Amino acid sequence: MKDDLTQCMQNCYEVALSIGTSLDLDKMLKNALLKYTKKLNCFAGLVLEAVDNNRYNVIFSIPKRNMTSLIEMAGLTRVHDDDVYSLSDNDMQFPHLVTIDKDYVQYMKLDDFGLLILFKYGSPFNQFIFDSLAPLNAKLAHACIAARTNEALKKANEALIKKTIHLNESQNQLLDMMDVNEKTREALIKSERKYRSIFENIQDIFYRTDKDGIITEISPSIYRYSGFPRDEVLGQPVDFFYKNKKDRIKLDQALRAEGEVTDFEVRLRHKDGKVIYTSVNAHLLFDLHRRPIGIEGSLRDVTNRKLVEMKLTQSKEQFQTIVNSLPQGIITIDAETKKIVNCNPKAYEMLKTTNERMLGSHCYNFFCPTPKNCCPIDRNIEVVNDEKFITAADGEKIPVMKTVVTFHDNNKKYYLESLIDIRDKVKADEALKTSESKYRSLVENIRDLIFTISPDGTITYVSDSMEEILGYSPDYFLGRKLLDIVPETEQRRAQVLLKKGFSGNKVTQYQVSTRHKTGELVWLEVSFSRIWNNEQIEGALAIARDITERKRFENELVKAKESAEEANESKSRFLANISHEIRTPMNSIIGFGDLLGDLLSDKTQLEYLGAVKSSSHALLALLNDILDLSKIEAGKMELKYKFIDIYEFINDINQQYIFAAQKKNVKFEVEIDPKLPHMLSIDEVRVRQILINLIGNAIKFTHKGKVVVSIGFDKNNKTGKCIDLVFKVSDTGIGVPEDQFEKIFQSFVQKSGQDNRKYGGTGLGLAITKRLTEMMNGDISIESKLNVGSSFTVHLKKIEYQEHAASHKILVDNYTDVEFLGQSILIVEDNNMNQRLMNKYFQDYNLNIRQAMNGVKAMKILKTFTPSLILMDLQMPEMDGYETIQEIKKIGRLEDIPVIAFSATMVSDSNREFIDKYFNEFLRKPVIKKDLIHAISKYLNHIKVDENNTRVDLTQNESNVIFDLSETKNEFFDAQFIEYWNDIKETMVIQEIIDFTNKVETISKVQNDIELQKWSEMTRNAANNYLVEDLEELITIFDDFIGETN
Amino acid sequence: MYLKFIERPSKDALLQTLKKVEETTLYKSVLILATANLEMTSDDFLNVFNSLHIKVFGGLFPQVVFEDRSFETGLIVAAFEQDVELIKLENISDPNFSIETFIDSNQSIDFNTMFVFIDGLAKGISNVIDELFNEFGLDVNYIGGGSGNMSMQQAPCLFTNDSFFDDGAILVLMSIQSGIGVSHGWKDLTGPFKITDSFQNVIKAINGEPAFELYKRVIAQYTDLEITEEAFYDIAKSYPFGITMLDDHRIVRDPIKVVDGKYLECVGNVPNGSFVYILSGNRDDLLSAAKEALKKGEMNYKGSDKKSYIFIDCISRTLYLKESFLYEITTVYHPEYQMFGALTIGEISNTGKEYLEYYNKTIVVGVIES
Repeated sequence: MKDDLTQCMQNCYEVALSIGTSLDLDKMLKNALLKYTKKLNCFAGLVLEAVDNNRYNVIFSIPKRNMTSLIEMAGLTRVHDDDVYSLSDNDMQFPHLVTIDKDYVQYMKLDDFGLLILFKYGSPFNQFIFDSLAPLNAKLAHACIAARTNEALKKANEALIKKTIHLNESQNQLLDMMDVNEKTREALIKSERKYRSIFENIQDIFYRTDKDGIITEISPSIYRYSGFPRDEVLGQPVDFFYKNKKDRIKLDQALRAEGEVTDFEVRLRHKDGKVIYTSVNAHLLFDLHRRPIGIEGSLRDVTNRKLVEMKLTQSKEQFQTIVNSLPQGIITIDAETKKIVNCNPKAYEMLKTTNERMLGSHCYNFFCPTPKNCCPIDRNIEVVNDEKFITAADGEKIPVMKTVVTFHDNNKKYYLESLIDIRDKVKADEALKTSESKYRSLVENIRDLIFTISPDGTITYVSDSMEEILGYSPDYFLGRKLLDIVPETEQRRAQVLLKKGFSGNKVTQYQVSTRHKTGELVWLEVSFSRIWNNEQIEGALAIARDITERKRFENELVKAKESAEEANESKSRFLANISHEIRTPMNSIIGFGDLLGDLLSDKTQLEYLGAVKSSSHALLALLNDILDLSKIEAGKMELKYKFIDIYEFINDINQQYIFAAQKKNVKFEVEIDPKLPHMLSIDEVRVRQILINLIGNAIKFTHKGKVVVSIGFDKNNKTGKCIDLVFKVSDTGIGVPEDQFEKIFQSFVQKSGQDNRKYGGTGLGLAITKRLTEMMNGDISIESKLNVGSSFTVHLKKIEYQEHAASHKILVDNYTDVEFLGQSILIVEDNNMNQRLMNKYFQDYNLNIRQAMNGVKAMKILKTFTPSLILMDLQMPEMDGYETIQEIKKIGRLEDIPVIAFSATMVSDSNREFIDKYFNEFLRKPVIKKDLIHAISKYLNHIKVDENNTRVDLTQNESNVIFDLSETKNEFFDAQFIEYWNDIKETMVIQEIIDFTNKVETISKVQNDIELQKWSEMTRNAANNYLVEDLEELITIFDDFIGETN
Repeated sequence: MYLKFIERPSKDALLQTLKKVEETTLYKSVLILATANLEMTSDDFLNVFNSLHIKVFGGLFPQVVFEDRSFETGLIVAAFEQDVELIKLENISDPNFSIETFIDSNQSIDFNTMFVFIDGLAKGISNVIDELFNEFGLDVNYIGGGSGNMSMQQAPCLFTNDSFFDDGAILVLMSIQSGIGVSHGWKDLTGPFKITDSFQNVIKAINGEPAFELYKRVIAQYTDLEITEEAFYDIAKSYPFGITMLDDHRIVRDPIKVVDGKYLECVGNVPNGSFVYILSGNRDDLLSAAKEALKKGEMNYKGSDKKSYIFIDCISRTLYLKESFLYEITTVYHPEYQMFGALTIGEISNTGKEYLEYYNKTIVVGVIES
């Protein structure tokens, strides 16, 4: 599988290399699709360009000839008569796969461009290939868009050049027209002058007015001219004709000033309301005394000429507007003189000058860096989109994209230069270059290994330091998956790290191991940070530091620490083991010492014997303390929690010490918070040990005054099930200096300056107390003042309690006296031993018991069976207790059935909440019979029965005997072995029992004694599951057997 | 189909045979497969062809195959009743080579089978193959291989009625029922390696290391054989490269010599950036590949029982299999059917809708209706 993935990645890598090799769309697609089809084993491909939503142009097909059949196969339908197609399924999600017989049509998205359809025979792409292709397709889409953009730019540029040329041509034409017009006008003026006084001019209108402006004579052609008949005009004031009276005023003024006017333009009106642009030639008429008596003149219709002129002006303005609005500078240069004849604002802005300054200047002096007579255009060198520099008026060299077009106007040659300012582009390019080289040199000079990974885990960049750190050339890793290069043992971790690296926001740091090319293990500390691009994760940047040396050092430290711990543990184990060896002779010394005391009468001898005895007792106490401490340190100290009446317990303690205190003339008081619940679940032996240590010390170090023991609980931390229990032992003794508060809790340390002879002790009491407190999820603290007194406070947290001590007590005491008539219990428990044990517990209580191995089986049984109560283990295979209870509570019929949970493991706070919510009760394993009976009696109806009902012992119940040691040969077990056994049964340390059963099992196998082997298995099982009662019974059986043997 | 083997070819013998073919008027085209070591010159060939009207095409190969034997000297004439369209490709080593310039847009015949003979020592063969795929697709059965001589010196080795040329190819478009099978039997020895620098058929660097260096080291590591520049192919013939394709396929590339003391020249292109494995083979795997090719070819053939077999195999397989090569031919040969073919410098074929490739060290079996 891994190989397949690698190969898929390799193929994809090759495909990736083929994309975007040309800016020509067709060429680019051919290269890319050849690789796509070849490397991905496809027989054909189509590329579609989106027109709009679900409408596409088929722009490329490989093979070329098959386009039509491929379109059909891809299910594309032609939209109307266009060459536009739509997909058969409008809502197609990509990637999409369609199977046609043995051919597979695979649709993939080319983001922002269109679709890629690949046709494959035999087997389709799997999801991994689709996923791997996604980035390639994105690359292909980009390449398509780039090629399309390039095409568009090319076209736009060509169009612009064409347009410019066209504009120039139009301008030339207009100029030509203007020129022709001008000549005609001149000729006409001449002719006009010539015939000015000819009355019947066919073309022009002759007219005469009197001094009041009344028309006295006018040519008959006025009708054709203005639509008014001559008769209608004669006798009318000339105002009558004017479209705009201002024209007449101006004409009058001119006539008065000059006496005559030539080609004076006025606007007259036609009868139909249109304007007649009229050229007037007129002069004043005088009488003999040179007094004006009227005006004589001719009118010519110049409307057509005027319209052409206006159009020309308009075109010129239009042309100039276009040129002026172009984003590039446009400069027209006389090719011969090299003088600038025209330019647009962009041009003089770019050159930081004015239009006036530019016009008439020589291009070579002004902006072009080419010297005079060296113009490349003169030598027919084409300048199209060339990157050049021009010089602005202030001397700045400005990079431009320059295109020069030659055109002729009136047999004159001009150069039209188009200049595009590319300062920003050049700056950006340079910045990019600088930045790139800066970062490159930065990265290449860093001693750490730097690499980048794409989101799919492919390595996209590796720094040169790879060679030094891992011995491979950077190329070796490029394109590979990160996961493929980490050793197999690190795969899972690397996967998790990669996932974390991509999901976390912060720079994250991990340590991973990999191999140097030489095979040596290399430790790297890798820090990940994600690379963002437009709010998309583009990849991750990883910086890996070689920490092999550091790691080696750390490992050595860990090893050193481990060996120190091991030594310490061996010590503890050794002490735990030898204590029994020492205790046996100590028993003899003390025992025989006592016996010897009866035989002696000599006072000195008795005194010596007294010393021997007290030393022996002191030694024994020391031994016991060492043993306890060792047990704690070796982790062999087991806590046994059970509910006890704390009031009784304290009463006991009180009885124990009141006498000892009295003997020292010290008052001994016990205070109990009356609100303290009666029944608390504690390890009675160990709590007693703590109190004995503290009270013993208090009495020992107090010579006058009192010792007070107070018991209460933290009111703030009481929950429905638990309290924080507080013991306080205060005295008015010698006190402890503050600088020794910590020391006195250490092993073998006593208060400095303490008179050892006077006070004795092992120096272990407080150390043991502290360790025990901690084991019980508690702490101990001290307050003390020298020669005033001390106060030790013990907090035991989360102690379970029960409110109804009285009723509980009755039930507990009488659990053998009840019967649950006709009621049923479903036990859900995966452990066989526990099932058997519970069956045994219940066998005398007249209960209908059904059992299920796990939640799934329980739910199956509950379909047809409705028990009165359910007992449920929390840890089970397939469906555990947490899940099962939720399923049960969903079924109305079962909702109200009481369910009691039990578990051997510690229950976390969150689980505790869950348990409180769903379960009626929680029992900790091992569940002992009286607790179990007590618990179920809360929920089941029960009656009291005769006291004759007693529990049946496993050993006495034939049906439960599943092994038989009667045939086992006793010669397997020699004296040494029996001694070993005696120790085991005395200490009842679980691990030692397990070790013992292993040894017995070995013997049973050697001797081929199946019964003995069964015993070993059952005992080991019971020990492993903390089935204390079973264990006791099994040990009794074995002990009986050993006893018989002896 | 008419088939004749001329063991001692001469101008006259060839002319006689071809005249006979032409006279029957039944046949419309003639394929000639000849060994490259004949005493006949290219002019001899062209003189013969000049006097004919029938379409002739073919090439010179290291060896030819007739019935159940391969021959180091000899000539095979295969005449077809079908008309064919011939496309002659020239200057295929030109990096800008494009098939479009050689193809008549008014292609006259419908075809489903194409014989492709190409100058096996030309560069840019893969480009031609890509162009073929792009132009004609995979609806056609392609069969053919690389022509040339064993001296590995490029020389004119392809011919049509009026030309004898090298650095080119002949495409023979034909309408005839056919089935093709391809197989090679080489297995991965080690890899993958990345081709970090190559140009056409010359591998310059693998994993960033000079190609020969790496190849030499890896071979030594896996086989204890020390490879030298002088006796390069003696060992290299057993350890070709395999270019990775999807679905675990490998396109075999035969490294034939060391160039400039550090590069490896192969038969066929090895694209820059591609991933390759070093392959190894054994006699049994290779021989079972022949069986597989035959099986595939027969499976893909949908024509009548009147059929002939075309056997195209890589000359380098004979160098590797030595006397066992005989088994490769006899594995494919059915005495009741005609069989002919050539031992080529690289093989060309497509396996159904899957590949059109230029292979090395590979066997191609074609079944055609006759």
